[in-house]
Amino acid sequence: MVRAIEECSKDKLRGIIVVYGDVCHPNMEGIIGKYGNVIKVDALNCIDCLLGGHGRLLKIDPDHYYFYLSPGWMPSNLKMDGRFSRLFDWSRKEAKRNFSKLKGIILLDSLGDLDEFRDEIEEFRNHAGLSVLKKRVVGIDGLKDVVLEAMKKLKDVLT
Amino acid sequence: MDSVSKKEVLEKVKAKIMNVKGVVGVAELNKEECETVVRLEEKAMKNVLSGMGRGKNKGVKESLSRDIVMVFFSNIDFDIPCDMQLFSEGRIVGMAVEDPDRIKKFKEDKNYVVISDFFVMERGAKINRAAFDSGDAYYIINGVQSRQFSNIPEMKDHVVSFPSPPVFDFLKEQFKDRMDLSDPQLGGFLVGFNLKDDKKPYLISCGILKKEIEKLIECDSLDVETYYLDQVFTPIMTS
Repeated sequence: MVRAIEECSKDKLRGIIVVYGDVCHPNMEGIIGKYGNVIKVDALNCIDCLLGGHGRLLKIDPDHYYFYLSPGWMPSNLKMDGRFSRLFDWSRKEAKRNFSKLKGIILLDSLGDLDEFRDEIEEFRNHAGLSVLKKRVVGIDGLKDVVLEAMKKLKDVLT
Repeated sequence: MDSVSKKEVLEKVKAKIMNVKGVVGVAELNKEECETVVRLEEKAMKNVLSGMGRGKNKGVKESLSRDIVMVFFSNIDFDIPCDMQLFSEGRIVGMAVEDPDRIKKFKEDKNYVVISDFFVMERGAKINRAAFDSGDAYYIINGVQSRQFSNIPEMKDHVVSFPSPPVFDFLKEQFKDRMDLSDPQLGGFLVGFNLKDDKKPYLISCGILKKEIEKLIECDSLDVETYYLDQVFTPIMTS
């Protein structure tokens, strides 16, 4: 993140929007706070971004009972990402134990294409030992709102 | 862009908006006027919309999220599609339809009811006062992109929206001394946009939202240069 910010900061006329959640890194505030040309979206994590940010996720799931599966969280995507591929290194028993505090999976349809991920949803469901409880169509308007809001703040900061 | 050249560009934009068929007046809103619009719109959305039910005016919110917000007034010659949806229990049960052929088909289909020749609703949808009061039913009024404005080269990311009657009244009162707003069939709209020659910002994100971000860029809702960290850091991450 720091490397990316430093690299993007070379062009002094252009600001930086960071689409990361407050809880995506233990020192998120500290990292972002060092830079005057960077604004982070007001969101807890990527799922909160899809819901429009501002902690809306906590309103619908205050006790963190559910795993939200959006296109970006599908196994094929996670396996390519060093931070998340370890989820699939767990044995089935380990995975079930690690996910055991959750009540189930909620599918988040942001792009209207979740049907194409049927096999991956099944793979994740089997691996985590969780049931799919419901599908929620969220679209991309929430993400758009939270990013545009950050862009507006960025403009104010830079002018 | 310095303030003088920005002013010049905005004057050019206003002149081009005035050239759109049916537009009779245009003015830029200042910060206070935008705040009043937000306040009046929020208040209006708590009330019943033109006898229809409660709603959310996403279009106005979106127009106001742009750097520049203008109001323009029009006569009956101004043509713009309406994008309105009716939700019930989280599902779309009605929507505005512009295409006369589709309207005709809906009229012939017993599963639908067509209201005022433009709004199609599922027959039997649970739409009543109680549903609106409880929040189960509500209208969403979206902003639209208009071909006439897409042709103005200085503008980007434009959203035309349909303010509620109290906002329309406020704007009419605010600008009546600067333009002729006496047309009995006067319409009032907001258009929010960004100026094209701004340098676009970088957007840094992990790969989880990549598809959604790319979609927003593809449909011109977001003008950023992306930088995804999954591509940068994956090789050096260890578990």
